Amino acid sequence: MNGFHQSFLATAAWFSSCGLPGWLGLVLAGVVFYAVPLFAVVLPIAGLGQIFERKIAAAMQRRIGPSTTGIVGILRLTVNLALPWKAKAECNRLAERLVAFGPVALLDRLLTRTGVAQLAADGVKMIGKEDLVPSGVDGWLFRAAPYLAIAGAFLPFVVVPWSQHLVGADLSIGLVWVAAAGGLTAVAILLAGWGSNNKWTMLGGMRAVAQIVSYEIPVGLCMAAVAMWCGTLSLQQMVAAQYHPGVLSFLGWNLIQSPFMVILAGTFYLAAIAECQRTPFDTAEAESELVSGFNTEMSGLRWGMFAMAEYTETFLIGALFAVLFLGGYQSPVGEQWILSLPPLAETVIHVAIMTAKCLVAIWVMMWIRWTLPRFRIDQVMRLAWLKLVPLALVCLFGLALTMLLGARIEQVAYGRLLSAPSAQLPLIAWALSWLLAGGAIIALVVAAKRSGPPMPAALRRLTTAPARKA
Amino acid sequence: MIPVPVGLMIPEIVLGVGACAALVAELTCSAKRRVAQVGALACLLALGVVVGQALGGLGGHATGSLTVDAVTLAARIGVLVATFLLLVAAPSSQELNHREEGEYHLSLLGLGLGGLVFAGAADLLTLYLGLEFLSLTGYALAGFRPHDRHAGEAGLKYVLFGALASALTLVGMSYLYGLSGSLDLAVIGETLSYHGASRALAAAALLALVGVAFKLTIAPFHLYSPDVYQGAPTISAAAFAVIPKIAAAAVAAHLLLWWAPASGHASAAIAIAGVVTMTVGNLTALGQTNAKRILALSGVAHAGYLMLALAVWPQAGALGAVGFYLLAYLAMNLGAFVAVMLLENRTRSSDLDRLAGSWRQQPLESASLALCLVSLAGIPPLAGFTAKWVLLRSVVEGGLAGDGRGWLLAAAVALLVNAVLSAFPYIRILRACLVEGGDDAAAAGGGRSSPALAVLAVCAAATLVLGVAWPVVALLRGYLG
Amino acid sequence: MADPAILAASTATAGYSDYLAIAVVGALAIGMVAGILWAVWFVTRVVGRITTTPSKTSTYECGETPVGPAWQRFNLRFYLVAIVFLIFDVELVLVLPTLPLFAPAIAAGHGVAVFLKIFLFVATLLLGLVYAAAKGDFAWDKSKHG
Repeated sequence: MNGFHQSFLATAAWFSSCGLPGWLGLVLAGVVFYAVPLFAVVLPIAGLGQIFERKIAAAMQRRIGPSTTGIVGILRLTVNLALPWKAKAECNRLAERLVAFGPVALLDRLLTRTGVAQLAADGVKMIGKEDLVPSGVDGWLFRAAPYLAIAGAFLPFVVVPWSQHLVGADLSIGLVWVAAAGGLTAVAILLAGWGSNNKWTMLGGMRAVAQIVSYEIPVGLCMAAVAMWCGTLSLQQMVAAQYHPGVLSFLGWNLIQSPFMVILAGTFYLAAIAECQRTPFDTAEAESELVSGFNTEMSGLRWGMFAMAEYTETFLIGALFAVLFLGGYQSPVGEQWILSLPPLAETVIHVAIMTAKCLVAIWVMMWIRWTLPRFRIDQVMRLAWLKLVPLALVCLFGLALTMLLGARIEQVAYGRLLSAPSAQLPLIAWALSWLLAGGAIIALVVAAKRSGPPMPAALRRLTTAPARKA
Repeated sequence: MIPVPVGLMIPEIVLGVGACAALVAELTCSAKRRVAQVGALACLLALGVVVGQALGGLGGHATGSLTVDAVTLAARIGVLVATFLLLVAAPSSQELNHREEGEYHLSLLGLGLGGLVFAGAADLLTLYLGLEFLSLTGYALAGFRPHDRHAGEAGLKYVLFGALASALTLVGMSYLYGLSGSLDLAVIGETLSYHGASRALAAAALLALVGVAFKLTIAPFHLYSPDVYQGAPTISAAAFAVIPKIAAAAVAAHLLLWWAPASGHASAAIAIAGVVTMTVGNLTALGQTNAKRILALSGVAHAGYLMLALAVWPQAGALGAVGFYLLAYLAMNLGAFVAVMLLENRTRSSDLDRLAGSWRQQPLESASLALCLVSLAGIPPLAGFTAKWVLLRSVVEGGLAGDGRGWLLAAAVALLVNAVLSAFPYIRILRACLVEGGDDAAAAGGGRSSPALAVLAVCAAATLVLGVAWPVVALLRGYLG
Repeated sequence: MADPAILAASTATAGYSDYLAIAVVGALAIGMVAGILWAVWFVTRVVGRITTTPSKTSTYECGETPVGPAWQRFNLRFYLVAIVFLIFDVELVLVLPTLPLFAPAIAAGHGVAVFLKIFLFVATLLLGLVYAAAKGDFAWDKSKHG
């Protein structure tokens, strides 16, 4: 952090040596050091997320997905603009000949097959779409909504650490900031839903807010439990608390410290998916019931802002999941070695690892989306309040008991049970907690099977193997 | 860590645990009066603890977030007795929907708990917590009757007025905290006296007092009370007339003690507010045609009388005046409301023309009502008279003390005039119940219920005994001492 | 190494440099939306010269002419959820800063007392949750709740 801060100050000094006032230099350095890296990482992933999702959906449905749009159109446009004195047809021919050229053709095929070129085409299409503000809307609310959505998606990233040195602001109340800034999204959706003066948006907005606030509770409880375990609310320190000095660095990760952590991780992941309104919890958009839910009246890129906010949020969930449970930016093996590298190399490696973890989390989210059908709103609410909240509370107190027990037995430190397998007694506490939670899980499953409502037919079909024909 | 005075909080804890038990009872029992019984039991237990504390000499100024001195103990006893009596009487009310009745008793218990917290508050946080506790449960109690326009109006009015008062209080509190740097009311008091001239502080203190004035129905924060009392179930009106007022009176007494121990300006302001309040209450009561509205405005007037007692508060003997006044007020007001509730069970309305001829159908209830009303009007030898007499005496003594508070004599005159003025509305109720002959159509329905009658009997007896006993005790004390 | 103006500015903002990052990111996020929407305006209205018509700007109601405004009363259940949320959110606000202090409390030897206090607080709220659930506040299908 220190070296980073020094270079930050040096940059600010350079700006001011160019004749700018000091505060402006600081702000510009802030842009260069905090914001640009953040946007450089987050924005492309949020954009690529949409293509990623279409490709994954296609793969799951045995389709190919976006696979026709190439770069020839972009080339045509470029050539036409570059050589304005030539005839249009001639330029087009030139562009086509260019595409046939070896390396360009390879690139073309790559971008076509992966669907990335489709992203550019979509972008160009959307920017040319009219931005309609319907006549009956509440103008202020309607116009403010996309700003809040994007702010709510990006502001929590400020506290997410990407490496030892790269973090926007390592707030001591990091988790609270994540919850608070993330809360802007609910406001944005409510504004969009109410401000549009449309019955569909109204229904969608109401549902969305009810759902977001409901799932805020289990998410918050999970974060609180991890904060208790690590003894801090700062995300950077939370990552540091998961450091394990051995070769197998992943032994320090929260996820495997206790079975309660596993349950908490599952709860957090589910609740976070629901909080950002993705299938199977997308009751707010519910295109088969509510047209498009809260963003029915949003057109063109105004709608695109909401889409971008959604993908940014999936990314945020991945990042939070990594920080809370998967050791943040730390490598699963040989973290010790990475930490001894020079700051720049360390940062690059860590950013890559963090991004990879986020991508895995996003991928699982998409997997879930294209596997499960949508829940009804009443099921969604019941899941939050009657299942996830009690579950998170049980795990929170289970963790607290583990900490107490660990401290009682070990008398020195708390937690870190797996990390210190040399001591005999903590192993007992560790085994006890796995036994306790394992028993609880089995009991829960048995109880659910015995007394729970029958699964929806669609879900049953999806989760049981189809009967094979003889 | 901040030391928490757990020992001092035992009554609150008992009541809180009792509320949790009542919650469970509400879920598990089909007979919803069990909830009221559990709550009443908790009240009795807490009352035992408080009496134990009082006897154990737990006086003094034990602060943290809570202060337990003579004032708090007296207010706690008053609040707990009132909550107990209300919980006993509430199941007899036929205004409540039987399916939801349990929640009503729960809210009533919550009101009692809020009263306890409010009465003992020693810092801004506890004060606001108690205020909100009283308010939120009060809103629920006010709008409880489902599908009833008046109840809806009462609930909404209470919420809107309450929210405004609460917001003003909060603004005041935040400024107080910002200017004094402390949440502790006593420390704030020191700052107030130190920066006596700071207008911002004075304004903040005044704003912070809005909540207390609202609960105590001091003019002009009394405007909600007639509508709320009329629309709310009668038991709720009884609760509003007693519990928040006792608690708020305790808070006012504490605040006077800490903030303005010997300030002539403060007591003058309080006396003026008291005179205005009693006059407004009595004058508006003159034209009313609904028993509950009259009782509501009588509550306003009595709050005014109480303010006069507070105006002479730190002076010796004033604690007795305030305490006795509250006790008498508790007995006669609760009795009047419970009697009206029992009459209402039959007539389905508290309008005076519907109450006409009640004495023929319900002689016991009508007689008790008459007793309580006569006492409220301040006619000897009942508690209301004695309470006013004690009050008047301490005001006059304050005026004659010769420390520049001669204007208290003028207040005493105003008190006398108001006492005469206040009799007329009560006479209207009495005439409707006792003199006019009603139609026999309203004869049907309205069974008698013994718990509520018992409460009524206790209140009426207390009215009588307090009225007679205090002078006797005072005489004896003068004789012996 | 740095010029004194910058050093002075950085010491002046020492406690606030974290918030500088927040302000910068927030401003960039807002600016990004503004810029994109401005670009759309430029492309569609200035370059593309698209014009709007009344039927384009009417709200969407499955192709029909919209009937009345959408700003109507909505289901009371949302209100109930909001109330329950409020209570639990306050719980979270109180619990979040407390829990990280649990470990130091254990180390200082009063772990059990702190555990019991937090547990009692949360258990009371949990009782409220059970109550709300038993009263059917989360049963959104009408058949189960009056």
